[in-house]
Amino acid sequence: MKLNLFITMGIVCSFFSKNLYANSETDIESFFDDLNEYVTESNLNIDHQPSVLTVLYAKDLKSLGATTLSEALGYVPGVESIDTTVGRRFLLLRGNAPISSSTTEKIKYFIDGVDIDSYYYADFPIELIDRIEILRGGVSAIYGQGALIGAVNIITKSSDLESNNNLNISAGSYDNRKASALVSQTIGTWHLGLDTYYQKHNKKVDAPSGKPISVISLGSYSRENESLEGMESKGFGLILKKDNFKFKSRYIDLYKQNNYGAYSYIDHNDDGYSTFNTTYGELTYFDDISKYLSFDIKAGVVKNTIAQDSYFYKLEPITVFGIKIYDPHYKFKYSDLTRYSDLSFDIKKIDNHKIKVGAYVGRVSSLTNEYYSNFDVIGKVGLKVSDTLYFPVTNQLTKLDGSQGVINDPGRQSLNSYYLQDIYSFSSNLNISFNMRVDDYEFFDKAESYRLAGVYSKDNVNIYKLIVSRASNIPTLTQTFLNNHIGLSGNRNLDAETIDIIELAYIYTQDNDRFKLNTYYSKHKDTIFMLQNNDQFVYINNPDDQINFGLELEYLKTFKDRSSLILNGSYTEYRYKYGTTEIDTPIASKQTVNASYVYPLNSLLTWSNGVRFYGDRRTFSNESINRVSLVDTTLEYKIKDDIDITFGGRNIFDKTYYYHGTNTNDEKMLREGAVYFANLNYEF
Amino acid sequence: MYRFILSFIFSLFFLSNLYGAAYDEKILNLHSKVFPKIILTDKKLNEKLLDEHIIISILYEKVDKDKALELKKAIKKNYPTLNGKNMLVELRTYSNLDKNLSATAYYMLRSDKEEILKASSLINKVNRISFSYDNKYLDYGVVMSLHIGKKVSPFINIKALKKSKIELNNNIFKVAKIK
Repeated sequence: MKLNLFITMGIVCSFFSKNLYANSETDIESFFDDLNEYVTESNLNIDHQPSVLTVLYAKDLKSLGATTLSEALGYVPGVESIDTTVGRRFLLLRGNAPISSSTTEKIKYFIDGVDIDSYYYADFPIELIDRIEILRGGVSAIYGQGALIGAVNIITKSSDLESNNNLNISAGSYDNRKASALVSQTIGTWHLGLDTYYQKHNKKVDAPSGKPISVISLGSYSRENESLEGMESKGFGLILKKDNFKFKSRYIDLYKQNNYGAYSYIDHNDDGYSTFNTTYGELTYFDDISKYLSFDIKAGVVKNTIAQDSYFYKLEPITVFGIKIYDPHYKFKYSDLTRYSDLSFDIKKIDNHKIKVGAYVGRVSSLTNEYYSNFDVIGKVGLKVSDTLYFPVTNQLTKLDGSQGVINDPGRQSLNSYYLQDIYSFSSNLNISFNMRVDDYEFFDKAESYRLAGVYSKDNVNIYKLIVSRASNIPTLTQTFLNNHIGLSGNRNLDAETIDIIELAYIYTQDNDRFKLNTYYSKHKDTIFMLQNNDQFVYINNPDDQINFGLELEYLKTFKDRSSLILNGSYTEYRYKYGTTEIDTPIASKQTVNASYVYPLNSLLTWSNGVRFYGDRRTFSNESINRVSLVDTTLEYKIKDDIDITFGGRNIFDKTYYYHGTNTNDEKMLREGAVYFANLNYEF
Repeated sequence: MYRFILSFIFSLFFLSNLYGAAYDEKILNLHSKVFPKIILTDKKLNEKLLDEHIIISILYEKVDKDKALELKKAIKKNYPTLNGKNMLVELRTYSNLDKNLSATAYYMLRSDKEEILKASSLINKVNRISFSYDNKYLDYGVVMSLHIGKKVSPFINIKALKKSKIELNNNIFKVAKIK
């Protein structure tokens, strides 16, 4: 699908440049041919496509008061966005939940079609987004391995080839400040898209279930139970397009405090942090070889970096046999660089078939692999107490890298993939699509993914879809080679995990009613997860199959007074099983409902109210987190044609609610209460 | 609380079916790209210019003024000129339609059935293209709209087309859905 997105951009480019703005005589046939490509690729006829796809448009999200990517994704049925310890954010999709904060997400994220792996930038500003495409289910046959349970594409406004300039500033609770700017212009034969943003807040939340160091008898630490959740993020994006060339690049930098802590205990030092950084650049060339054959070639680099700084315990001031013992402190920085090229051919018409074939060749190498500590078993740093325990006798950190770094550095890994897509128009009522992909990664067996989907509609009012798929996820370098510095260990014997899914969807669309119902059943095999054994965690393949099933509902109703009702809901069961341990849907809510009513009071003022309901949850230790309903409100006022102001509040009744938080005392992370914001938007 | 929320939601769900109408902005935006191109398929376009200008008239109800403005903005943004000709986009409420019918073509936002019947009848009499947001309005005498299904195609009310004596470029019938 990432390829599809590149192709899409090409199609959109050629569509706009060749047809919409051309002043030549109209060829209405080719105009509608191109229009059909554009409509399909931009998902305007989403109901007729062979996928369970939800598209969120930023304009709608703004009316609902969503200001970040994570808030936006909360409007998708079957999706919850949660915070957890160590400043990590996760999407829970159809009940699939991370067992620990060290777990890698099994969802792939794309920005403007560029694969940024499983890096979830939950705070990415909605003001820079044109739309978000969320594909649920096993989609690695389309998006590549790793898209085991879904994929999220963020399409920015700067990639839109229409002129589109914008300035935006926001302020809100917890000293939240945000500013963004966007310029998207066509100058002669060049298109330039440029955006930038800066965001910061100092969120601090009471943390009754956090573990302060005082629970350790060695120290005298008595910090308040507060979760430090401040963040600072900045970034910019550049898109250049000329003729058949397109260049996309982006830089995102995110700093977060460690929330409930990195290793079971709330940081006693305010300087603890986790940082995430993504930088990419990609050049694409696309062209038509003939009326029915086109190709697309691209080359790119993506660099992802993660760093962390935290303490284990508060030990100071104690001495052992006259030796002063310091606070055990560690930090690390790990980055990898993926270089890739991808060539695909699009065969537009062979007896009602539309075929795409392609190959991807990539290399991923660890670029930075540094671990720093004042106590470490692998590096033999500190005072040796036993073979598995060293005490810090200095506050100076020792740098460990190479085979002693974050991972036992394997150098680099080659990643080769081959893929095929065939969309067959069987009749005017029935479309069938088939996708197949083989991912051949150097350190693992080949992983195969496939997907067969059919869409049937006789009257364009009732639409039926059936999808059968197998998706796969190859272990990451970290999961395989992680050194056991802090009780987390990689496993060289890991295999790829797979998920087999069958989905049925029904869509009813008539006049002002739109109703969608999806049901799914899946079997998750060889699930990669972190198993806790005493104080050690190790990545393993779960020998037990995990069963997951549920349904999702979307309903949109628009009224004569131009108000609209948006209703989403889901029910899911994820049967976690490992040996004799069985938990019915840990961490995620089985039931979620999101109902919003958007009411235009007049042509200038729109008021929306929404209720988010999350059903009972169970923590991984099988404790219960009670159901909760949160109410949000948003008022949007158009000052002038090009200036509007928005005021909003989330959880305005200040309800107490919790997320799952691995390694907190009872795995319940208290979340913030009511939050408010104001936003000024200027378009020019 | 749980039961209350569910009952509230389901009440809305069922009540909502009693009412009608609004806009999908993505579709409206698509129409802003398509409608001017459709105008170019009129074989007698040159006879329907006003001072060498193509005039597009957007008909709206007062409640939809912002949508009419958005559509106007989108059309002008997409087509600074159309096929080398200057273009003007005017807004007009349905209640003001009968005063002057000199526009080149008419785009019809939502209104009551009676207004649509009245407007399409007037527009057909002056041999102008009428194009509606809602393709259901083809039942009320509107000449064209857009059909979005597996494929996107112009949707033509052939009876109204003949009645209005508008002659379209033949190529459009190769891609059109006919009512």
